[in-house]
Amino acid sequence: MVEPLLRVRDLTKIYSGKGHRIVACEDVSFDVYPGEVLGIVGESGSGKSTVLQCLFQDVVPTSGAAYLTSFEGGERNMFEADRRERRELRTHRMSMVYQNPRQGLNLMVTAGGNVAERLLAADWRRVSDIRAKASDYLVRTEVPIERMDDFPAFFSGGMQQRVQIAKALANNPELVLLDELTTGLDVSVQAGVLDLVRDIQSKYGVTAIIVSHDLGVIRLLADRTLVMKDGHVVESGLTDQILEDPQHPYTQLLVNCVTN
Amino acid sequence: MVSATGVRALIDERGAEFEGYTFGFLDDMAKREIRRTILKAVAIPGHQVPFGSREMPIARGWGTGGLQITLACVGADDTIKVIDQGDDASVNAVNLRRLIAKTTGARETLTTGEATLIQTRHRIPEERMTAAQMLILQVPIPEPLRHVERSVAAARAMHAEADYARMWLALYEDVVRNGEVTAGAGYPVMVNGRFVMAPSPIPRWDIPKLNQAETLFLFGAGREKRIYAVPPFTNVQPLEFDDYPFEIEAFPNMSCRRCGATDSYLVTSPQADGSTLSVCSDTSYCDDVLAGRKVENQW
Amino acid sequence: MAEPMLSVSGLTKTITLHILHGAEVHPLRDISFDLAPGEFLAIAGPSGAGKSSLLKCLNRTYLATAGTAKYVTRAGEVVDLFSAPERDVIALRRNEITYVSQFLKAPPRVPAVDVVASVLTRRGVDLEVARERASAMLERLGMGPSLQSSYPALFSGGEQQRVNVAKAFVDPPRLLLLDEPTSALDVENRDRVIDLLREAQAGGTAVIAIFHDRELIRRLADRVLVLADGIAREVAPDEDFGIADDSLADELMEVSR
Repeated sequence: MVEPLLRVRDLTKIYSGKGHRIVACEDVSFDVYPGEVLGIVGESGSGKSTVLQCLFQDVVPTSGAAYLTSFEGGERNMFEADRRERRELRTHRMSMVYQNPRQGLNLMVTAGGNVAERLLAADWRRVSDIRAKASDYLVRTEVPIERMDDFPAFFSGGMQQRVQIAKALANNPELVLLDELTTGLDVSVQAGVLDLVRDIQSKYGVTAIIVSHDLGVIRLLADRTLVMKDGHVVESGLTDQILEDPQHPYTQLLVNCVTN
Repeated sequence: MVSATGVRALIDERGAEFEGYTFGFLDDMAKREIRRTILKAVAIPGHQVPFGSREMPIARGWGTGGLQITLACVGADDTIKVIDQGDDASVNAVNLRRLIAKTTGARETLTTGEATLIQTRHRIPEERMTAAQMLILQVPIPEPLRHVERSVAAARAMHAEADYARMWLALYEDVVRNGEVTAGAGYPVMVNGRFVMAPSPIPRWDIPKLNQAETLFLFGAGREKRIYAVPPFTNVQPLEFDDYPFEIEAFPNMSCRRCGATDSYLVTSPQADGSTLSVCSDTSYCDDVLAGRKVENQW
Repeated sequence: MAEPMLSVSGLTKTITLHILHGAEVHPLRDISFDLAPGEFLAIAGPSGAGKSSLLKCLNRTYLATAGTAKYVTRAGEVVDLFSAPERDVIALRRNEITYVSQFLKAPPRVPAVDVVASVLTRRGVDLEVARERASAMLERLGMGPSLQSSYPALFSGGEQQRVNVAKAFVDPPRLLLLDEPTSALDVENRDRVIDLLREAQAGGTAVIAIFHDRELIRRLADRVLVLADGIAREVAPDEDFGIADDSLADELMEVSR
């Protein structure tokens, strides 16, 4: 039997301060298996992005656990990792594609350099090898190779997202986290980026968690889907089942909105 | 108006006033704190240790970090030398040397071989230094990650985790844009395989001298309140890519116009007639060669 | 009869429509049947009788409300298709069970040949080999190179259905679930599909297929399950089970649903 690559248990993030307490996500549990794409769908504020941010350790969860099989044999909660281990997790085992390329890219470093950063972090020390590998990833994500040494600051939104995906693939992470990757793009550009991700997934069998408010994105990319509302998972299942036979009132509403 | 002799008198008179100061200008507690900091810096080669940088009778940015280390270490029987860009005779070098000598009674020298303690800005002497000597380097910016990470806290975290990907990325970008790592002065080095360190703005020429040297190197940044060290016999390697190896400056077919040396770091200045003049940057070395003294300069 | 490969027992499906104030629909009530390897079970019945729901429950596109579907895998393990972990269902879908919906659901902007080849590449077949086999299958269904390299979204209903059929037969699974695979095909192509079905059956593929066409049922089916109002009764293929043949009205109903 195949072991899950990632097990998330009771992940909870509560923002509290003077007189306020906001539950971003609560008791979220799920498994991700090797080679699978897990979708998380929900409206803005449902906590779906918080789940990704916690997993990528951009945000410190309030409680809960996540076990990555390759991290300490899956025995230790990766939220208990020290700084150095966290960095190792972020540069060697996982990667994140942010909704806003500014968050995932250094726009004043060349496109190739952005991809190279993850290779340099993995101790690559030959410029020619680094450039060959970086250009390989950029080709995979259909970034024109003659733009490798240009700054992403001057790229279109779709091209920036492609560079971000190339960077996320660099160094072959076990798990790629994708947060609303097409939300900021024109519809025509969205299609291209989605095709790209689907293509890469089918060619390289990347394991991924993709967060989107867009059921179309989820339908296209996810094998299984979690539906989140108000910080909780209200339903989970095979993506076609979620779309064709939704059980929870919220999911039925969501699916109905799209199909109508 | 003050006549020239008047100035001389004034200086002598002020020198006399130093008699009222503690030995080495700094109070004893300050010297102790600096020595403790130096001990820690020696114990963790390449690691920047914070210290309580004092107000000095010169402005910050003019060598106060180096001066505080010198004053905390110097003894009455030391022989001191101060170098400014290789030159002992610049106003700043002279002032610093006199201040140290007058407040401690230490002997002054211009000759590298004679000095027990050398404070320097932007150069390491050409003559090989020994275990009996100590080199104190003035540092403007002690943080090698300053230009790749603006946040001081984030840069410290990167040092703590030996996370130098950003530094390497800057070198990569340099190679991509310029075909080589262009860093001239202050080429970043890896100390003892652990900390990336700013060697202060010394030329590449001087970088190999830091590796496995007999001498203790101390680095002081007064404005930034940091002290760090390279103890004797420590590995110090410039950051380099396998296919873009580190190279020192080359002076092909050039020699010092004054002493004729071909094995020293030359500085070149344009002349009124349109030609250029190249001379040794290290004036002590130049004098030695000119006087026909044999100098061991292979570091 | 051989040991059943699939044994469905007590399948009940209730859909609660929360957006319609909790109204309940009961497409399937207490359905039971067995299926042996290589056997062909036809599903017949009027529109809205729950035929598609039955296939979707077996494919796990619908969640069964009650009942079990014990499926014996190639490896000999018994899996309840209604309650198996999603992970296992995904693996079965990839390797053993293929569901072909009435209308093609192809990903956008993928050429027809690659839509079909993806069935094979997901099973680990090399892309070039997969493309060759996919191309040969589409050719057999009368689709030439220019159609093969076009996007199915631009195809006519009949062409889309042939792509769908090609997906089912390019590498016949152990269990094939077909929802009116020939409804939009002309006679020539319908016969080609029948040939493909017989070949697959001969190779051991068990088939559960929804057909409106009585003639096809007679020619292909070993057994027939007639659904009406969610209740099933089994009849012989040549029996008159009291449902109008190939009703255009029915199909229109299905399309509009």
